[in-house]
Amino acid sequence: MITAAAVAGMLSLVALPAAAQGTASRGPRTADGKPNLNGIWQVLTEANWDLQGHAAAAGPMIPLGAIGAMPPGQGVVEGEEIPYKPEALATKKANFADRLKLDPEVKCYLPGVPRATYMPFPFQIVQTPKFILISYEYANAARTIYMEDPGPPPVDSWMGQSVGHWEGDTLVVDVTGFNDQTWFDRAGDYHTDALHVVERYTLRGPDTLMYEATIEDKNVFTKPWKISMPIYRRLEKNVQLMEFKCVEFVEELMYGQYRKKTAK
Amino acid sequence: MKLQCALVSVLAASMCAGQGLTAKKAWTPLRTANGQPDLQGVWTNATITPLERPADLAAKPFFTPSEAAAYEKQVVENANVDRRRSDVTTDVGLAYNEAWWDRGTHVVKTLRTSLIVDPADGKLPALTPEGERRAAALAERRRLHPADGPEDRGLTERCILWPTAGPPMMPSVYNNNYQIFQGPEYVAIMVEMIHDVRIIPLDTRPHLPSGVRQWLGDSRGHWEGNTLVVDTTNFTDKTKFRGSSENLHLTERFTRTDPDTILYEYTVNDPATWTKPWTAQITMTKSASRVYEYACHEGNYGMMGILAGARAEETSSANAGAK
Amino acid sequence: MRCWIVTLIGVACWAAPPPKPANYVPPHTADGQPDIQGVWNNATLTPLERPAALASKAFFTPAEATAYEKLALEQNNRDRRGTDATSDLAGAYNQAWFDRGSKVVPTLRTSLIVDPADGKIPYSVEGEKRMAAAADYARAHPTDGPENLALADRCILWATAGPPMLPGPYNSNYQIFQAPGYVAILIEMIHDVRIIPLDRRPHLPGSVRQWLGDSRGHWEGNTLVVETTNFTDKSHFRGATGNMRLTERFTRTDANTLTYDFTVEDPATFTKPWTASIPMAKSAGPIYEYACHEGNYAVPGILGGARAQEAAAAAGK
Repeated sequence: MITAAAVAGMLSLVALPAAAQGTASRGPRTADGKPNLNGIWQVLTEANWDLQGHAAAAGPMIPLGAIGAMPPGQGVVEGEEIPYKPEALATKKANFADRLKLDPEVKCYLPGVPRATYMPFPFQIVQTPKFILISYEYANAARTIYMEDPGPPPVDSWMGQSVGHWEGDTLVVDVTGFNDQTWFDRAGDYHTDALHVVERYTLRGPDTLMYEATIEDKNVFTKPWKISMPIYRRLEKNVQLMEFKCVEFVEELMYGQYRKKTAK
Repeated sequence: MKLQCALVSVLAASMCAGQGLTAKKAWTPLRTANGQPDLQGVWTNATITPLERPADLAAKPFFTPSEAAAYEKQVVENANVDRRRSDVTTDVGLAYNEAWWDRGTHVVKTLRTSLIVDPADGKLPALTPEGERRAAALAERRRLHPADGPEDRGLTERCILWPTAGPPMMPSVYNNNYQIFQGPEYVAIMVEMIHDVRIIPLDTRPHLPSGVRQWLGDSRGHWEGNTLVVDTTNFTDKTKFRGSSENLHLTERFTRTDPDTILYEYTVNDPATWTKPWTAQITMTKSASRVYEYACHEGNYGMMGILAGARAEETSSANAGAK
Repeated sequence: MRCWIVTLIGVACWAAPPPKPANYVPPHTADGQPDIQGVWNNATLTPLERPAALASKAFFTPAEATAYEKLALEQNNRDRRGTDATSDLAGAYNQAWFDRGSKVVPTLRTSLIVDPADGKIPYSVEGEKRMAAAADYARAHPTDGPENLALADRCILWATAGPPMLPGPYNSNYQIFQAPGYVAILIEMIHDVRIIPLDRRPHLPGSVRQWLGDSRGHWEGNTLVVETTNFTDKSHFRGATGNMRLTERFTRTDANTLTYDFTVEDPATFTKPWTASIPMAKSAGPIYEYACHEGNYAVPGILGGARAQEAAAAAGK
């Protein structure tokens, strides 16, 4: 039966502009005039191993051989050293010594901010005027950047609450409301729930984002400190995020001791 | 390149003849496309000249050409491992036949009787007390633990680092080959043993942070006239060049003195180990060969044999003792 | 495209009822997509399949609907005391923790399934056999290891994510974002994000399987049509295999309603494709972080408890 719906539907199908049918806009500006950060991005640094400069080293698992070894990195910390309070530095070192047990990444826990940015996995930015969604391939972590202030965080969380605004062509994201559960890297760098992170994302050409994050936590550091690194657009044809649902991969590690022992 | 030759040839046409000049005349090297003196190509630093002057040559800093030829003949004959020794054990202990070795057949082109040029006696300067202590402790450890584990063996047996790589880049028992490449802001030295590549930036960037240590250290280069000067720091405390500490500060100088020769000079500065800096020179010769792949670790039966053999010896001596 | 041509000669071509009469024209995003952005909630008291007691009743009357809602809320209320402490404890959470909705669907249909007409999933013989075998296995091995537990208990996948996206016991919340070439759906449980490209790129290779499959979308008029393939054989939506094909349709039928229809095809499990329709209601939000795995005391508790029970039984206590 030809319904009004069908007619209206057909007409609007004809009238639909090409953009809605799926040519992703790669222009430098979004429709609302802001720098266009849409797309799939990934860093190339070794920051997730250790934010500070470090030579290569053997890994904690002998059977993994070179696969589990730590690659070298020139470091992403401005001023090279993270300004720990002396007692907090002792905690960091204890974290490192026991990292297989303590690093939340081992258990596929949410990575927090800024670590989510420099995990060795891509992430996708979906940018709208009121919200910017960042979906991370790692553990399908996600965060929504509120471009209109939603008020203070109602509860602490792993990924914090992100509030963004534009300063010229730089997206500035203020993140608060963290719990104390995440680490900054695999080297034991950590924080408490007093963590406050301010990120800056600035396009440098169509395929490169310059990223900075200023980190402060009065319980752990003597002063705020900053990391910076470029983030590169993933340019492969038809590139998309895939699933890294790692909970399944850590069940044996976390629950194997409760597994029923088969008879014999 | 052609333009410079054209200008120079107004003054001295012979300088731009190009081929076959010896190190004796002041020779202007060709330039790479981006204006650096050209060091590119495959080079070998094999030489029978020892690092330190032999005791019986103490009074002779330089050979005459005929003395050099005689020395070469004698050294090559004595070194030939295909000559039968006095007994089977000694024969077997020499391991490889002569075909496998390539220690060189010539002294350095300068005819100096040692690679060391400073101190003038061609010998290493005295060790500091700490340097001596460290050397003694290391020797004692090797005596007591010759093969407990891989870390007791030399870096060559472990396929980690060869003396030809260093730095400094010293000739060794075979494959003393290097290939040099030059790009706009970099000089790269591919070392055959063990496919190490030293990539030396020529800009003014600082060294790596002092907390970062590397087997080959961290090198920075710049040109002084026709000489490439390379400054290397950030060594690990396991590199131990001739017993050096991790604070070794090495300066190398590469000067192409004729089409077939690079004069390679290095100065070792390590106050924790030697009472004063010391300097050595090696002449590197153009090679017609190519650099081969040396897949050391991939074929490392040596390490397994040495350790397993040590364990077998322990077991059999334990059994013998138990009888 | 076939659908449009067939419509001209007067034959309805889609099994699901068409969206509400199009007096409502949705706003458009800056790049011309119908705007379905915002926070939505799909909690409802209407079950997926028609209950046996209502087999002959495809639709409630308004009065029947009200009565059903009242009854459902009473019966589901976890704060009601059970007969004894054991049955009380088995209720697990107090009512405050649940959020199953308070209304049936506005169409008053007695099931979310709109096709087949009987409101039931049309299992094939093979599908039923497989389900029965799986149920037998689960009965025999309820707690051997984590892989024997429900995906939700393992914090791997929630019914609200699917796809298809079905309401759950709480937090049936979604936030939709649109940018040129993409629709993204952030699903509160368990912070899954479905990023659906709108271009014509092919699906992932057939050898790549994912819990949420692999989705491709395009607009047909004001309806976003999303096709999903590449499911794993562990996703098991209502017993389906990894070869299940899912087609979802999102249409904003008024300012506060996103009508969500989905059609499931899996010849290895169902005798024919079947379709359901759930309205999603605009919600104030916000979406909270649901750090399921990070707080998963349930799995160690369930497994540890089972091991303790076995040990006690073996000790003859």
